[in-house]
Amino acid sequence: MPEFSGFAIMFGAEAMIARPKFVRVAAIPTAILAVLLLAQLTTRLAGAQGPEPPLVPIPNTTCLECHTQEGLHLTLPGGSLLPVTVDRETLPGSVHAQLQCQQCHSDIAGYPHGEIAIESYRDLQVHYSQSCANCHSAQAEEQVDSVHAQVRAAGVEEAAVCADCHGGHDIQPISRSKHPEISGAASAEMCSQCHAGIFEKYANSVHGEALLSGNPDVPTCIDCHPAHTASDPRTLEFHLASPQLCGDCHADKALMAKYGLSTEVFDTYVSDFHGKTVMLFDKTMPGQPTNKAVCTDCHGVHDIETAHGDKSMMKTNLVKTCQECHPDATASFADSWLGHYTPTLKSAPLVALVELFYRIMIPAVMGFFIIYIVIDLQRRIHDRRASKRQAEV
Amino acid sequence: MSTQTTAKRYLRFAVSDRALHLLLLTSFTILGITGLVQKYSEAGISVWLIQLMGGIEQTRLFHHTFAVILIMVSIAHVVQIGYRVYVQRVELAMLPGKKDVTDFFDAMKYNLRMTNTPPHYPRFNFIEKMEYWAVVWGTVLMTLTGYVLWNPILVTTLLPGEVVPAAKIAHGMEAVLAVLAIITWHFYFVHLAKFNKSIFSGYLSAEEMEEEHGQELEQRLLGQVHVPPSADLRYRRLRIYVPLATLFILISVVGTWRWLTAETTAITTVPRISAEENAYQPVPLKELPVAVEPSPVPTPLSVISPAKAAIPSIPHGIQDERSQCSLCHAVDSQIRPAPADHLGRSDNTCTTCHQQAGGAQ
Repeated sequence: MPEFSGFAIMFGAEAMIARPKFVRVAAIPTAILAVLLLAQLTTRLAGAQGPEPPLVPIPNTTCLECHTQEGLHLTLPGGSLLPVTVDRETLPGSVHAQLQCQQCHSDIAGYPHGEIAIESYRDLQVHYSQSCANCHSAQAEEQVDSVHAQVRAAGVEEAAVCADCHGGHDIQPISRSKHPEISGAASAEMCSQCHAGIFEKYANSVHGEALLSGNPDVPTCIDCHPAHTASDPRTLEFHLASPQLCGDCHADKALMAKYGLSTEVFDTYVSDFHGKTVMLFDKTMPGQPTNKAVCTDCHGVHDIETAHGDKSMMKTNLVKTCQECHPDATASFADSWLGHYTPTLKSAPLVALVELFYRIMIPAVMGFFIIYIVIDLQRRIHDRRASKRQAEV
Repeated sequence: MSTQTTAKRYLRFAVSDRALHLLLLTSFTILGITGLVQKYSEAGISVWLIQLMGGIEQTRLFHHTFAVILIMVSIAHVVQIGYRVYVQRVELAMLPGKKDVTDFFDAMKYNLRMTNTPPHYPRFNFIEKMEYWAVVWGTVLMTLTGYVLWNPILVTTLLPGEVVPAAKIAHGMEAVLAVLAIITWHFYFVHLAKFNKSIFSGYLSAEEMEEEHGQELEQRLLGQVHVPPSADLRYRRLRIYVPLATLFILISVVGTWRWLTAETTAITTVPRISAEENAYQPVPLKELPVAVEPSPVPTPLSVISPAKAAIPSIPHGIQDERSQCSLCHAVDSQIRPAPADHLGRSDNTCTTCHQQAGGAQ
């Protein structure tokens, strides 16, 4: 048997929508009859089984009577070949073990199957992904604005549909947040089917290396680009909101403590010029362009490396990174960046001293002012009362 | 009652003082607001105010504009003081002296009711001097640290990089100190304790003079006032002072302008979004099979492997109502019911397996 991709296996059953060469019986009177009988049968079963009967209750064994036969295929109107042999064990081994073939292949009723009008193999995949919405309406709805749906609408036919990631007859969940038994690596490899270049970078990054060696703490693709709702990461909105994304993990004390990482990275970023501007843009005018650096501008996106490497190399790199936006930057200018750490007397004595000075100065001055004012005020009140009393006398 | 005394007004601030105060008030307020919303940018009210001002870039533009106005006010004040010192030769009443220390203790004694004689204040009492010198100190510090933040690359060619974050801390915390001082010290003494309008009107009443500048009032009543220079002397001094002042103004203004344009700190092109490589780089898909052999005719398994139970043939015709197999042979019927695994199969699939017995009608 030729080796099929998961999709081919899933969509294989498609071939049941027969081409003329499959027709063995006079089709038209049978089809009319079939519709009438089917209606009757459905009503009967509905009465027997309760309010929600399967769409068209033909048992899977009936379909498999033919569809396990090796080598079955048909030719689509567009000329491409569609294998329609289904492995008997695939669906029962998937999360859809309980489903009937016809719940997804609802447009195939009876035998011989109707004429197939869909042009190409890819069109069929897209066509059958629509039936997912019958049961998974929430997921179908949330992916409407996703980047995949957007580029699909713009005419990119490769843009992923449900089955591209979840599989067909071998359908499986992908999200490790909902299914802890699933590894992040598995989903990343799923993404790599179409995003091989980015995956390669990611695989060599500090996150990717850890993930692929079995560490569940690092982000996989869909942690930053949630599969169903993933917005276009090339937009300004995404750019401005991206520090929050990093902050979700990097401000998590318990998680960062495991790796000896500082959780101050987000706060120190936001309290500095770049972060402040980016946060304010995000809050007051999302979508407005700004050239102020976000996390990824300095640390990289998919190729993020550890910031705990060779110090001198880091410094050289830092100046280079600064120069991307500050062309005249010098090494001394780069020193003004305190590296995501709250200044201490040891790390940045001048900054720490200035801060200490004001931490003493402000309360001292204000304390003096307020005490003096209170003393002055009570004397004024006293004087006023005294003069009133005098006036009364 | 005391129409006589209220009618008598004492000039306290010249027009130039009042004008500079107005400019100082405006720039200080705007600088305070536009600066503190940046320091405390996470607060809801800051975000609201920044939005109101048209975004953070616009807020910074306001801050920079009024910073320049405040610098100009400072330059004007220096010129004004220079004129008073050199041309008019007035006493420098703002300089702190020993009397201020004794006045402070006298005021404390009076306020704590250890005496009933309030201190006799000069033209500027210690409360006002403290505030004036705080403003001078604050303005100088804010100007210097502001310069560092405005031209960080230039500054770090001369000074270590750490100066920049230090300047930022100092700029922000000094702002907090200054605003708090205005809200407490200034507001209390000139608005709450007594609303002193002289900085706008220019004049104080005799009662106000008595209370706040008793010593000055006494001197004025005794005729111990500053005698302005004669017209001739004044003219001679002006001939020296005007060019000097002009030079000073020129240098300051040009210096300020150079400051504004000293460096291009960052690129101005927007947006700087990391250019990601082509996102769609699929792993080459396995080739779809090419049909070498024509597809076999689909045949039900049960037909192929007769090992399964023999398939009953149909002993009767299947025309008209007899084509509706399940009417009689449903799984739960009494007449030769279909096996349980046939549940749900539609009538048009029956003849796929069940053949009519030869010639049956």
